[in-house]
Amino acid sequence: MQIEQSFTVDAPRSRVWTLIRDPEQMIACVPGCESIEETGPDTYRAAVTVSVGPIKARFSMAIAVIEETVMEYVRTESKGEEGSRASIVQAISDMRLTDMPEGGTEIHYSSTVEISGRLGRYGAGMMKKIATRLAAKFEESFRALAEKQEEVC
Amino acid sequence: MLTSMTKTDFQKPKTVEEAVTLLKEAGDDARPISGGATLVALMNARLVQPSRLVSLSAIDELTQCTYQSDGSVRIGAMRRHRQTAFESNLKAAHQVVSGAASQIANPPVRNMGTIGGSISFADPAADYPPSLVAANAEIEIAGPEGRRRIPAEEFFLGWYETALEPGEIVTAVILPPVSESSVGQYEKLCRIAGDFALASVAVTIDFNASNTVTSLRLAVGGCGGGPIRVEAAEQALIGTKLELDAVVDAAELVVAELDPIDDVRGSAEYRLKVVPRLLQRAFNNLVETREPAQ
Repeated sequence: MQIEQSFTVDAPRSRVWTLIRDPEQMIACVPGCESIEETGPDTYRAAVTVSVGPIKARFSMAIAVIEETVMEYVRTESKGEEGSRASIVQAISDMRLTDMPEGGTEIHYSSTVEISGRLGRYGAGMMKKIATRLAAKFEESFRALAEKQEEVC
Repeated sequence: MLTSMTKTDFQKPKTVEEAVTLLKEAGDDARPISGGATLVALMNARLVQPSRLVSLSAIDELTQCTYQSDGSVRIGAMRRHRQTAFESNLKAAHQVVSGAASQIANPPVRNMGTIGGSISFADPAADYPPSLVAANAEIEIAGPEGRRRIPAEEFFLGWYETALEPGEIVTAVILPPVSESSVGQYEKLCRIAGDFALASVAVTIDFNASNTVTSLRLAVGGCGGGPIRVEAAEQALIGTKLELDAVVDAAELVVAELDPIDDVRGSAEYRLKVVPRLLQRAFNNLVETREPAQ
């Protein structure tokens, strides 16, 4: 499943970059994310719950930053398993930041996601709709965070 | 298969208040169970493993369907699809709801499944959601904070999501009073008998003495995350006599609002093609049921 989207926030690129690379800040933005801990240089473990109707899957995700250009681009690889159950999620995600001519930053991200197991029972068409909805929630929380932070400084 | 079954605590309260308390106590993993048509299947497939099941079947008020003095009909959440399909209290435009109930799945499921359970699960292709939106129904919900009522349109948030907060249950569906001259129709297209809808259309209409449409509500199922009501199309049809041209124009307005997906039942493109036909069929069947009465 491919997800690609971009949105702009009214905050400078340096601010956006700092937030994106700060796991503590990301907990609040990623829908369903309960915790993130650093497990090594550029590797993290996160607990993320995804619920679709009555089915609730709690993934333990291993996330690794596999490529980055400071202030511009980051590529991550994520793998998640749901305890003893056979649900597996894998994703490769790219995020690119660009300055907007009128100020602010454009965040463009694309993700290739594979889901199998309990949530994989919902077809790809529906999972894409659900992923898009989660992405919109992320965008909303991230924008609120980025723009609020800027005012404080 | 059953080796890793977790233990489920089973409760059967007598009142709505007790049920809500039992759900609240057990937290997130507790589930209310009504007919079990969907939940038991999900549990058998080990997709859902509730820590506590709170059966609603012994709560008397949920099992009643009552015709109220103001002309509204209150369908208790535990009413089975079969009961609703044959409900004598549902007349005129309310028949959009009995029509939907009669087309749900197959007889065993209709004997087992309940209206409260079905709408709480909120399958995007289920039969009740569009019919309740077309009927302008209200959903009564009970939770730790007491009871509240919301319009069906605000209840279905899309892709299995409803306005139910954790710990809340549906207690009833309330259909507003309707005039005797009104009619309701539910049309469904499915690949095989008993399947979920590939697409469905629900309409309620009222006419004046000269057969001109004076009010109309229309909702489409199976073509998005939840039922889709298209007010522009409703407005376009009010004041007409449902002539072919008017229906064709309105169908275009409907199609423009749909958001279908490709799935095992059909492609998004196909769904957009069949909805105008379903709409036309709904109106044709309405006219047929109406004419003998004229």
